[in-house]
Amino acid sequence: MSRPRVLIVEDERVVSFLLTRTLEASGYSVTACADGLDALEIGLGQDFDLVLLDQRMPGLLGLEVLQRWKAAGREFPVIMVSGITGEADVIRALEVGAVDYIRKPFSIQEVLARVKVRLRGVAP
Amino acid sequence: MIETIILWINYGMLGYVLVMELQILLLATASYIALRQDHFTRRHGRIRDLATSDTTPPITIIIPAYNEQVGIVESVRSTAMLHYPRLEIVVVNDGSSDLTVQRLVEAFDMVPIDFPFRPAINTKPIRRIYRSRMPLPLVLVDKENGGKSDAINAGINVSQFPYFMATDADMIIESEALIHAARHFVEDRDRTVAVGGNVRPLNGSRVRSGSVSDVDLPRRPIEMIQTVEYIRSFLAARPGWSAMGSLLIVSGAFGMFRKSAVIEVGGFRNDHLGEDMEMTMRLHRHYLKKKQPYRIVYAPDAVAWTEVPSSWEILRKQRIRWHRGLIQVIWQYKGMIFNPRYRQIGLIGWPVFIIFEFIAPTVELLGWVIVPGSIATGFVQAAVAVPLAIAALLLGAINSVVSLFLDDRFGYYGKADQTLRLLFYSLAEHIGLRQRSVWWRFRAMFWNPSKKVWGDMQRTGVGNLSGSPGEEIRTG
Amino acid sequence: MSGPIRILLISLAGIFILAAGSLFVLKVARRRQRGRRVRRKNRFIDMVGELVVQGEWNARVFRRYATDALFREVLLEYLRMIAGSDRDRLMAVTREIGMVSEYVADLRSGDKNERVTAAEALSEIADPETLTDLVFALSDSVPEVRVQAAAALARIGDSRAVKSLLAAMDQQDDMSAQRLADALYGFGSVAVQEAARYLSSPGKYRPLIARTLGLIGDIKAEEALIQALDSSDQSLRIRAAAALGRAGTPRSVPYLLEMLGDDQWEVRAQAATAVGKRLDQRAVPWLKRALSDDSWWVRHNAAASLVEIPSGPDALRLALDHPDPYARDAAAAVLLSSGMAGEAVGDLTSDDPLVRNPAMDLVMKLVRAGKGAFFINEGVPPEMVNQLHHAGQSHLPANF
Repeated sequence: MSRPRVLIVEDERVVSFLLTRTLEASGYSVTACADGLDALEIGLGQDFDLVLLDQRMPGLLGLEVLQRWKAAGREFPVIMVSGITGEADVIRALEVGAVDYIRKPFSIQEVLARVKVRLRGVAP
Repeated sequence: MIETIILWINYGMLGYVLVMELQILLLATASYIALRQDHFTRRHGRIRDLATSDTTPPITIIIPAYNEQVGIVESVRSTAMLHYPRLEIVVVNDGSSDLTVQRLVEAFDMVPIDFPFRPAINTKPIRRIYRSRMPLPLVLVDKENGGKSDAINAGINVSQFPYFMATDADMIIESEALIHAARHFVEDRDRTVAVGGNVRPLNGSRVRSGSVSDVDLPRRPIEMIQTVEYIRSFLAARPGWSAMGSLLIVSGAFGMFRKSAVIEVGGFRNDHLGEDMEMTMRLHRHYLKKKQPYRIVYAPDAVAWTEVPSSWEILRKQRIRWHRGLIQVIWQYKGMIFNPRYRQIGLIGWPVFIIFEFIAPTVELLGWVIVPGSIATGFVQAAVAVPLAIAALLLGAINSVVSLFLDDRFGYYGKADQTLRLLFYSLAEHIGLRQRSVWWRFRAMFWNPSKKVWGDMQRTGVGNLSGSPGEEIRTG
Repeated sequence: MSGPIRILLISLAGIFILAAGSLFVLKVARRRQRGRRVRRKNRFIDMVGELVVQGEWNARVFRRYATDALFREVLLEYLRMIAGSDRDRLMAVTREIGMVSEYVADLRSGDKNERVTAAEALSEIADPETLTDLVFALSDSVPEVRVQAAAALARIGDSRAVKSLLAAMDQQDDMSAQRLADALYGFGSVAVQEAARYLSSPGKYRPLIARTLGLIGDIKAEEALIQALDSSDQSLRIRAAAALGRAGTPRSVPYLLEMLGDDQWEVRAQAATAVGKRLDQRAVPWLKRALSDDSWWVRHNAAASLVEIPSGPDALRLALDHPDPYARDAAAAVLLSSGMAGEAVGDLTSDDPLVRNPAMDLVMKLVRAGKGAFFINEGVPPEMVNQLHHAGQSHLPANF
């Protein structure tokens, strides 16, 4: 079985670096991109086992990317990552079809744990 | 005797132009001081705090749309992406004859709703109100045609938040711009009634899905000249006026208002070509008359981009319309001139504005005719008049360069060739556009401002006469 | 050309060339600087990132960069983004390389820019060991320093700081006061007792604190908020009434109901909403009366509250026959937006007349009240459609 593929969509370099390095160190195959439109294209063209999706980015909003993926029948599980606080945003993201929601600031161990839960059944 | 008079007329005109340029230089100095102070307040953490705080006032963005089927969906999308804690977007379809409503309904899954609201300003009837079923705070008001002001007023009626921003469908607003503007409402909530933003020409920049991804200078000379012109107006002049409490125009393209203030003065007026300036003047008059402390300020960091005309014909129409709008406003508010009751506006701001904006074209045009004429007929020595005229133009160019310095804080146009082009055009602007614009504005004056119906009443705003698809010129 | 004119011309040309030249040099230099900055910053991001992810860091290199502004910026960015044990480790490094103590020293600097920078950084770091220094900074002369110190204290979350924060409240300008109140909210429940005490002081920013108490939503604040309802300060009454929506118990209900008779419409509107959150039967007759209030907001909020309270919806349905058209309108609007009308529309297709007829009755009333803009499911008997169509033709959508 090949390594699980994770797409990280995040425009802040600090966050993107953290997530990429952490997941790579845990044996995932990571693709990173920093722009909503790029993310949309990548997601339409390739398959992933999990996507970590930032809400606020240049290009398209995370929620919009998610909506368009759903509309195009792309069904990979998506965890939203966002700095915006407030219940409303969490609820929206879940309504649109995100499987989970991570708020910044986050604990790296917690993110890793959530990712592992979602990828249970997909090696490693 | 006659010789002396003619000589003095000549000197008078040259002197006037010199004084005008010196006035701008003085303003630029005031602007520099204002921008420096502003820099301190904006630097520290505030913007980030405001972006997440729930004490930041919620704002309704009103987008009047007339035949905007081409760009409206993108425009709403980019507005929804703005960085701001609490927003509501109200698109007002002003009786379009195209598919503006259908496009929005399809793109954002909008359904007609029953939407009770309190009409605070009279407008043309509203046909139906839609709301998006997507997680977007988007409302669409479909009303009968009544002009841009009427559309904004309808938007005000429907809006639920205490502050609103009026903008055009073709504006691209920078993501932090709203926070930079709203900051003033937080800092001085009791007094601030309006905040104007910084409008910059979009031509030449790269746009990707509704936001400016790559700021660059335009190619064509006509657009370059306007770029230099906008920089001077929005960086050399407005910060200075704002600091003196005499900001006379809050741009219709980026103006944030306290809703209750606009309602108190009766909403936007439909019979004005320059409804934005008219509203600003009305607010000034209202509060000065009531002797109530208030602030109308300019926020240089609140940046929005717009396409400026790229053909001389459209630019000519735009400038004529602007000047006629100005004449209407002057006519309406002539009572404020030199009226001590209106304090800094009545005594300084408004007269200076009239002298250098309204009268300038006439004097300058006469200058271009009389001075060469006088030289040809020998009344004036070319050796004196020509250097003086060149001096005036040089001063103008220096002013443009000074405003480029002020603009440097944004960090745009940093490449060597971009800087060289800007410098070239700050000189070239004074040979070419300046004279043409003088002629247009002079021509614009031959027209009766008290007439209620204008043959050339043009749709401002969206498409802003820039020749974008979907643009239409209507008769009022 | 005469002498003075020539001098004027030459000097103007000189000024232009000088200005243009220096602008050019400045711009080009800035651009180069910016490019270098981005590259350096990315290097720092990778460096600190390794520390966070792998726990590896080169003490010598880190100490060397400890005074570098850009390096510090990157460290602070990481501190802002992460939480938990990784953050603690990063904070320990920040302390170890001397950054924290330097910022603490800067808090007492004579240069206000230095103090602001230090306060900002310390608020990002939120090191519990800096508590006393931050409390000291609460009385700084620069508002920004005070606000950042308050934010830092909130992040550290030590309840001892609450008192100092509230004591500093009255010396603030409006904007700083709001941000201080935001910081207070960050403390959560531990701030409630002190904040409630502030409400009974003559403090300048009581409305703001009342609002904060509402946001925190702890019922320990109820008593103080009830007392604030008696204030002559209108905005305090508004905020207190609103706050009781979240921080109230059934005990506050009679007081809130009394506020439905307040002179100020905003107080009445907030009270109408707040009382709805208590789901208290006692409120129903009062709210029914409020449906005829002069203010749209009060009517609407009262109707919206009625929907929440058991037996309230029945009162709303009855209000559709209210003699006052404004009450009818508020009731109809809320019945629609709450989805109750939608149910009735669905029931129109029922075979059971006991379900269908009351539904028809309700829908008819809504249509007569001018609220006809919703879609009728297919399968509604044609005579009913005709009837409805007749009742409110002008309000119905084309595809009705």
